[in-house]
Amino acid sequence: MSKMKYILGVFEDEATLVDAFEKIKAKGILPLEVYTPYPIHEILEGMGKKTRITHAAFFYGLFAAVGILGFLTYAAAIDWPLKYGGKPFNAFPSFIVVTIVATILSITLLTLFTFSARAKIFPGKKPEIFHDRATDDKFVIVLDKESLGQNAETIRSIIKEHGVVE
Amino acid sequence: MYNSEVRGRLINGDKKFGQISQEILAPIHRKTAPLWWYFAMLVSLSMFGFGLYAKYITVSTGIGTWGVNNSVAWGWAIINFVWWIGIGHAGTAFSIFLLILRQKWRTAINRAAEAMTVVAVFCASLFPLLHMGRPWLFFFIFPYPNTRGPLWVNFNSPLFWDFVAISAYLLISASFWYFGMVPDFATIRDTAKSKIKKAVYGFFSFGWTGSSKEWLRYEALSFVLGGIAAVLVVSVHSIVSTDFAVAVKPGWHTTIFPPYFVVGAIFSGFAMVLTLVITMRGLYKMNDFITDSHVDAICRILIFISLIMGTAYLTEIFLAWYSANDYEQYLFFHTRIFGEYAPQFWAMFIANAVVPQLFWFKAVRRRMWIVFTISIIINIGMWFERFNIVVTSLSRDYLPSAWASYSPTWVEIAFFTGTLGMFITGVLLFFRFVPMIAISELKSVAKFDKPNNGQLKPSEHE
Amino acid sequence: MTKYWRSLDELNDPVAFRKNEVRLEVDANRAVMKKASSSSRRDFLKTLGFSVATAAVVASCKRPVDKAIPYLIKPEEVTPGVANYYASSYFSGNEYCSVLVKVRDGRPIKIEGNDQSTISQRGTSARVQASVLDLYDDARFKTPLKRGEATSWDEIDSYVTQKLNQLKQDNKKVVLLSSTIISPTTRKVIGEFQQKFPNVEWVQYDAVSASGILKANELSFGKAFVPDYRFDKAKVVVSFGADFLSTWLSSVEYTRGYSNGRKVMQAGDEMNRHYQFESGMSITGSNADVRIPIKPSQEKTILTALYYQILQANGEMTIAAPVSPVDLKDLVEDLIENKGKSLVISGSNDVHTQLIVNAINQQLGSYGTTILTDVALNTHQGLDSDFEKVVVGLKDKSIAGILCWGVNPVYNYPNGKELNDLIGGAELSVSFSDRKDETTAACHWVCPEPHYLESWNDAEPKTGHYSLTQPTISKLFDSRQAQESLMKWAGVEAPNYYEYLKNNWSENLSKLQTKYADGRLFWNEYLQKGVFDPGKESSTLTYTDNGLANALNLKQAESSDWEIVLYQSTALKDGSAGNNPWLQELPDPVAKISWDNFASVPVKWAEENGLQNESVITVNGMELPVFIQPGQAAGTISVALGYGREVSGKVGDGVGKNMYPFTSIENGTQKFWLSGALVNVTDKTYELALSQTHHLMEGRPIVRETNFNEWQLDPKSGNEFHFEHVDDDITLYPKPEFKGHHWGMAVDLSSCIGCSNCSIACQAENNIQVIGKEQVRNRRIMHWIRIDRYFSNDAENPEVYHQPVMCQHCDNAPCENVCPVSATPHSDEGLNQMAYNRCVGTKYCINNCPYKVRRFNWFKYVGNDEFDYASNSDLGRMVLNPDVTVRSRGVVEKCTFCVQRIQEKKTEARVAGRLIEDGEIQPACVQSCPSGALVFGDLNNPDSKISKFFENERNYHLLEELHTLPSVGYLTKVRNKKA
Repeated sequence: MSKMKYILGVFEDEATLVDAFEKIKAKGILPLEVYTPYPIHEILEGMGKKTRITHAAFFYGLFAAVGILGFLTYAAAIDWPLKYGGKPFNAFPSFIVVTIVATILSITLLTLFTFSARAKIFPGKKPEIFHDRATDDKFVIVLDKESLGQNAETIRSIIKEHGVVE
Repeated sequence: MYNSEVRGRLINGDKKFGQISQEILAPIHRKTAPLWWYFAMLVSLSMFGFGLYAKYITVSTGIGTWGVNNSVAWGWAIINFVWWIGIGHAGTAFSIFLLILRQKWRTAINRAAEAMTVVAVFCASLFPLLHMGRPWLFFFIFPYPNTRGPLWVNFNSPLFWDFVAISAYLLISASFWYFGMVPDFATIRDTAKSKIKKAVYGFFSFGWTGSSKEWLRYEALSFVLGGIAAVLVVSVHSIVSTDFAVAVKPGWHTTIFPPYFVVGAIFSGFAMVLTLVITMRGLYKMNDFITDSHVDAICRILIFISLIMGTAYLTEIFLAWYSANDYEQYLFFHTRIFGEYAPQFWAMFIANAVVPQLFWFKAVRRRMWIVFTISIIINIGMWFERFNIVVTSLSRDYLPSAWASYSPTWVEIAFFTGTLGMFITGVLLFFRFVPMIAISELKSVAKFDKPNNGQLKPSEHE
Repeated sequence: MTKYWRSLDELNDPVAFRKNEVRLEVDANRAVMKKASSSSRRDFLKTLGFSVATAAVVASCKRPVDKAIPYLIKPEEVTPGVANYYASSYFSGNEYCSVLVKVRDGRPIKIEGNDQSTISQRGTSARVQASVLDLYDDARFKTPLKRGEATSWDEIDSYVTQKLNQLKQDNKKVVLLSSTIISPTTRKVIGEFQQKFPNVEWVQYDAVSASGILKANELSFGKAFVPDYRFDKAKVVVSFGADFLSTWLSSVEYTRGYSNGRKVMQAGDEMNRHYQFESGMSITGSNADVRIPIKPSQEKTILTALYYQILQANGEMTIAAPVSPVDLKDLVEDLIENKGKSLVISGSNDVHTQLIVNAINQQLGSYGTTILTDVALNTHQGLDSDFEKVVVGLKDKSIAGILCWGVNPVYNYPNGKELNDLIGGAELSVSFSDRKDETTAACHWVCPEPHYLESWNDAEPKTGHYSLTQPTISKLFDSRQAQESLMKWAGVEAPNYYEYLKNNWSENLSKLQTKYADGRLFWNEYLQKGVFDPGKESSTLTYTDNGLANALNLKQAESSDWEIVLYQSTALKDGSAGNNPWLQELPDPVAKISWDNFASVPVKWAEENGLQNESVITVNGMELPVFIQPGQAAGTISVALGYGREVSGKVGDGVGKNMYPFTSIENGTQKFWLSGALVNVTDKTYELALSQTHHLMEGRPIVRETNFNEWQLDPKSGNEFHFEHVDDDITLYPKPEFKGHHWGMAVDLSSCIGCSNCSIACQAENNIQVIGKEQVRNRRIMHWIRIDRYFSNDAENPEVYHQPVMCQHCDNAPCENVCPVSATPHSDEGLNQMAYNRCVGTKYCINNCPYKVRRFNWFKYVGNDEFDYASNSDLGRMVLNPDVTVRSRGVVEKCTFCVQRIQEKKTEARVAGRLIEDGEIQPACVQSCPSGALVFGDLNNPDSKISKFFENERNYHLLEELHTLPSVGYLTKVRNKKA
């Protein structure tokens, strides 16, 4: 892709980035994307995106727990009951432990898969790098030229207050 | 927005972000590792090899080559298993608890701690596998559909719980650790000079770019994992403790075990973290990131835990007396405190409950070599704790006719040495190829003092 | 791949060796096939015997079956997979036992007690149980030998016959030296042999003889015989160093009688009182109500004192009795109270001592009541003095030839080394031994006789009690019964001892009965039963006090210095079965040491000299490992005979030290103790295989005991804890219910004498492997039923407890919960099951068993050169019981209550469409228990014996406070001390 389509605002630190970001948003323009070496909450909120990973995780847990407990009871009490040390076939207390741990395991794995699916983070993925120091020490705002239209100049000036335009 | 009133800046020297990356990634970007690294590698690998030979003997000839017998059927293998798992606890405990407690200073350390966890748990998992009479049939423990009925496994058995818990713990802590590293791998990818490094780390970074979308979900993920792993930290060692607490043996059959084991695990884990961190500081000049205040903090925590341990030991003894149970009383008073296994008992008690109290003195906390020594002593003490639990209970149980003593053979010792070698190897590789400190997290806290630069108390000891 | 070889021949030339093997087998088969044309059941059985056995064995060690003869016609009485039982008789080492041989697919695999017998009464001893393994001993001779080289029978026969005739012409003496022979038919054969060769003198020689008793009785009754001791009739038993529950004369019979006199189940039951005077702690002493440690030199003095005191009590004498070193007041009282119901015996081999014993018994009126003189015990007939003459004869060459039959003087004669040369130097020296031994090694010719399980014979262990021995497998090797050899040499063309025996019975013995007119019917009947008791033929003898005065006057010099006592160990007795790994690994019932003999030293002396177990002392220069024996009389040291074999085979060679050279011949009898020994402490140590290292109960309610008079007042006495426990017996889960059967076992601790017969019976039944000294020392012994032994009270003279502990089959079994792979669940009949092929060996069950009855296979014990005992050769593995899995390395095993026997009987009952009778199912340990201490049955059947036992006030469960609900009950130990 040609960088010509975009305007890149590159900043030195968190504070200036946030400042510029606010100003740009005030102009009613939402940057295409913001690249930072570490998460910055104003940006994450400002970009107005939401994630439902946490909800997903909750339901994974719910279903896993029920499923596992169900399996244990089925296997121990229904499918092939065996006598152990005078306990009843359905020795519920014994099942709790496994249920908890196995649930935790399934939540973790499923959530991980969800994450890498939604965030497109998976082995061997080709990254689209706008600025190769964005993961190191630069904070980068990417704007789409078309979307700017006439206020392109004002934006540039906003960025120039603290950062550099590339 | 972040703030730390207690402690001043979390890293020393007003560093630029780029500088942080460079300094932390220096060992990775270097063409060759320092000489001592190769030397250490050689030593640890040879230990590892020795261990492999012991494992070969064990599998080919049988566990008859060990010192265990028909009365004391568990020996060093199980001791070491519990010991390693305990150490493996630190990483997760560190990240999670301190995360929950909003202790930001953890950022400099948790990466190392988590790395340690993964390696330690892996070492641990070898013992239960190879202490079996027929390890090649270990898969019997999976409740997999089979043509024997299907015959499932015994869900009442603590060993089965244990198996589930350990494998879960290994998987989770590994992924927790790895996903923490993804952004840093990206950093390496983007800062590395050599083509190969770029390619390799590029692969491992899963195409991370640092976009707000990624960060958003990343935060969510670490929130979920954090919450879950918190439960795990408590559950895993509680379950390990049921390996004993569920049994009828005097000295095993006690309800105090789960908390006692969890605390013990964190104790040994933190001690090991201390050992590791001090080594890192020494070897890689990371004092700016892992400051004295970090070490100081861990020492304070250790004082607290060691007090809990002491209480636990005394509680056990008190209950043995108070229960008026002949078998327990004989075990504690005629076998452990005074008797055949007294040396091991007192080694445990002094190393875990007494020695760490030295940390009350700032003078001690400041002298790295003393801290280092004590951390080692604690690790040894914790090993003896497991020895006390596993061996003494078995060697003096109900029927005196079956009382037997236990001492390890060279095979068991070599096996243990092997895992030590494995651990060190793992750590060395970690030093060489993985950012020892979570860069992105560190950056996020690098400039805490920005808002209130003036009122900043200077860091305590420089 | 490793190349395993069984002999140098095979190593050097495997092909030839294999060929030879095949030829031998084929010959054997062809031979019997010829006979089988007449096809009687037994002939067929013989045929199938070796072939099927080979097949089974070969299969059992996972190699392709090379030779198996298929059944074209199913032989009558033989169903593959179903065991047949044949009555037979065991007689070896002066021990007689009537047995049933369990034959499975043509292989004898187990010895059971024969309840038809009025002598052994279904009891056996560990030695009898282990004798089946001797059949499959690698040390047996495969062919006749000439100076160690294989040779043919023809060559031997021609040479020996010619030589015998020559010696007969030169009128040179030939000695037929045999152990005691109780077979009337054999005596007949020998008689005929002597008729043919008048120059042949027949001498009976016993390793540990009863010469003392024989000679004493010759004086007292005019006949050299061992009377019939009736322990069941005795209310007071006084034994001076006679280990009558383990090795003395007819121990199995005595055990039965003795323990029958001590069974106290419900009110009114009587109990005998047992005094034991002895130096070392024997099994008998460990069961005594009153045990008095004495030095052997004191024995005669005490007896004399006792005699005089009894005279006084009988008012027959006025002068004061000589002082006794120990107080005899109570004893005398008891004896006088129980005149005619008391029994005094002595294990001493000294004529004078035995004369005094006779006098005492006469005074007490024991003769005719507790000692029968009209019935003689024939198992000990050897007179030491006779053998002395033989030795002299050999020395002065007046004896030119010697035929050794079942004797091993080179090993067990005080001066055996010398005999070695004498026998070797004789013009003719033949041995009939079936396996290697020291004497045979000295003989020029070896005519191997078959093992008793391969041969025909009969026996008259007691006057008027006959029994038969029949083959249960065709001869494994090229052997020939000694009787046939003698007949052959006496000129019989084709000797057939079987026919000879059969005729002798149907013609002569059948006259003793009236039931069967036809001799053949008589023969079949008693061949099947195994025993024939036509009753007495001789008449009672009258007592005279010949030689008594002399005996009383001879004062025995009491020595203050060390006295060494030599006794026969329970496992090996006289040492003839030295190559039997089962016996070698059987822990001594008192010391709990296997694979060695050792010096039992007094506690006090050991403390004074800072000795530990396993330190080494020297006795007259011989180094011996120390075991500190509570109850060892001060100034004495006991050491077991029967060890230190030099030529016995791979297992027995060099195990322990040979103590026979310490014995001596004193006025015509062999003396089994010596005084004035030099004992020195060394700073060396020697590792002993102890299978139990802690000897105190630490005040735990493990063995609960009471005294007879307390029990009479309150049957619950001693067992209070049990009832306490029953009262506050609460449970979280409901108690498990068992529909159908609920198997259980009870152990009567006051009947159990700790003889360890059950351990070996179990070992034979359940294919339990021998693991060797080092592993026993590592506390890894495999016995499924172990006998715990505890001491209490005074270390100088403690009380001893024997407690058999097998899997308790708990209904709340701790082991079951902790197995992750479900390898040990609970059956619907209350059995704690073990699925070997499911076990992965986590060993948690071993840890969690409060009784520590689970055993682990630490190594591969079968077919492993590291463990070269019974199971490392095709031959040795023939003893394996096909009904029981041979456990692989890395799995846990334990007592199953002989589940294979339970299933067998259940099937039988189902096929017959009836219910299982109580007592029908008997696990190996229960079946042959000589004291009837073990009871097995169905707890759900209210009328069963086991239920009665469980209801008895004496019943309790081991560690019942743990609420494991064991299916095994123990009955409190009752002693009968004077109140």
